[in-house]
Amino acid sequence: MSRPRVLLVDDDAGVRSAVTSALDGEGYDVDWFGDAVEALRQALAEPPALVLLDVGMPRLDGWELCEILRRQTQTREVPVLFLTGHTDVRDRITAMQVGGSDFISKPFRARDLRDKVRALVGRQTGGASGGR
Amino acid sequence: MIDELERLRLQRILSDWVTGLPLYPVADLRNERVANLGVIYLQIGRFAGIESVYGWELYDQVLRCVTESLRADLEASALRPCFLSMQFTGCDGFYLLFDLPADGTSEREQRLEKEAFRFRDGAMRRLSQRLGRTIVELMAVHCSAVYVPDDPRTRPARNVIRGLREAARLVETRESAERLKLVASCRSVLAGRKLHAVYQPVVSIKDNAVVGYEALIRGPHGELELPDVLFAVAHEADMTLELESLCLETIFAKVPRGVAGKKLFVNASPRLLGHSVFLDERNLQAMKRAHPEVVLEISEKEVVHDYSAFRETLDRLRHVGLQIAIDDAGSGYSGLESILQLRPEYIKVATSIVRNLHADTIKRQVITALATLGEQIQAPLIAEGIEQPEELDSLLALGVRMGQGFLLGRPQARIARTAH
Repeated sequence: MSRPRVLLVDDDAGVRSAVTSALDGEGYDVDWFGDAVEALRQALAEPPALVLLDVGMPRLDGWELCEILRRQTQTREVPVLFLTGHTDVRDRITAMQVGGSDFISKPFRARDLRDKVRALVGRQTGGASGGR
Repeated sequence: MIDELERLRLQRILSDWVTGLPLYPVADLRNERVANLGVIYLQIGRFAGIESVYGWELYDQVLRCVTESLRADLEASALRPCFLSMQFTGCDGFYLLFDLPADGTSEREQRLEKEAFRFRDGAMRRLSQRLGRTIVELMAVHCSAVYVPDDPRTRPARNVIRGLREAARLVETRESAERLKLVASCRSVLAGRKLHAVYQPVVSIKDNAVVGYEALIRGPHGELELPDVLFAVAHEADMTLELESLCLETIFAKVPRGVAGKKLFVNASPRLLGHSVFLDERNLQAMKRAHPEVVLEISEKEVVHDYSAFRETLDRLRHVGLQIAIDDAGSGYSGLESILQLRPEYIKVATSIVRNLHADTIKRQVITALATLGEQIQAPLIAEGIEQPEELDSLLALGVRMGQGFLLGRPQARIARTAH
């Protein structure tokens, strides 16, 4: 069985490295993108098991990218986990309103991220999480 | 990818992801000549503010349910072969467009009208099955059907738009007629003082002991029975203050003996509380005589413009021994401001936050934020609308000690003195 693919979209190299190492060894293939437009192209071409999405990005922000994914047949059901530096409740509500599945505040603990990723990928694949 | 990105961005603007439908106006039909355009329009309505009362999640469910219903009924419809497109207004209306066969005009119109009612009945039935009767009583689905023959002297795009506008106007007319009827019924309820109170227990979650009762108003059996509907109609007719005064009169005219020794929670708007008739010393003393432990619930959803003046009002009420609760806390998903300003004795957490909180991270965070604030100002939380054991477990885990809802006790007209 192939390993679930997680698409990580964040323009901050430090966050990309933290996420990759948190999910390392957990049975996921992490594809990362620093550019949201490139990530969108990849998500539409090959829908992942989960999208991990930053909010503030230059060419296309996370809210808009999520809204676009929700309108495409191939990505409508793909869970989106927002990685947000905002702690305001309103931002979290926005995350839900644009069709996000959950959020995690930056900085996050590796264990919390793993729990959320496992829950969302498990929900999507009907319980199968990780590839081991 | 840039062209593709522009297309996707345009699609984002022109379509609604909750319903999956393209948004009005009908870009795809603008330049097509449709010989016999049939428009069926359905509008979720009756009263404004369903979304603000029950939250966007429930309203999203309503929209999804209506969309699914329309799709299902369309597949089984005799008009299916003539179907052109379905559009969403982006708020509360759905258009179904048909290119009708060229047969007798009156017959065609009748068939269209009949189908409109079938679509409407289907939507109401499915809403009722999925979301319960209360929601359907609060929001009727109205429908209209309009037939627009092609006219070579007009531009097709304008012809289509005129058809849509006419369909919406017809629904508006029907809604207005229904509202007028309801307003007349509301006047009759007020004149005949046809209200009664029911009492829902407020319970200590840990040991199930009743700590108080919330007095809830009911209208006469029928369309104005539920307070949400009654207040929505009174609001339309600018009779809110009269209705509120009558509610309090009804409650305090005869407080059941079973409430003795327990808190009596009653709802009151900031507008009523600031009214000179309410603040009259005799009125306040009469309330105290009727029941010594009254907690006035003020809804977080109602806007208080002048906090310092309102705090003075609350001080007067506290001076005669009345307590204050902030009602519907969290329903604005942000409004910790009013709680900080008004320093209530209790914080009542809105039903929309309690519903399915065990499966929702945000809702649990909102409750945690409210609990932290409550601790700071020594105002315990009371969770409203508890219906599922999982909700109760989550509330206990979050440290909420009091609650009410169908799981803990339904509203009842009589209270046994020995209850709990």
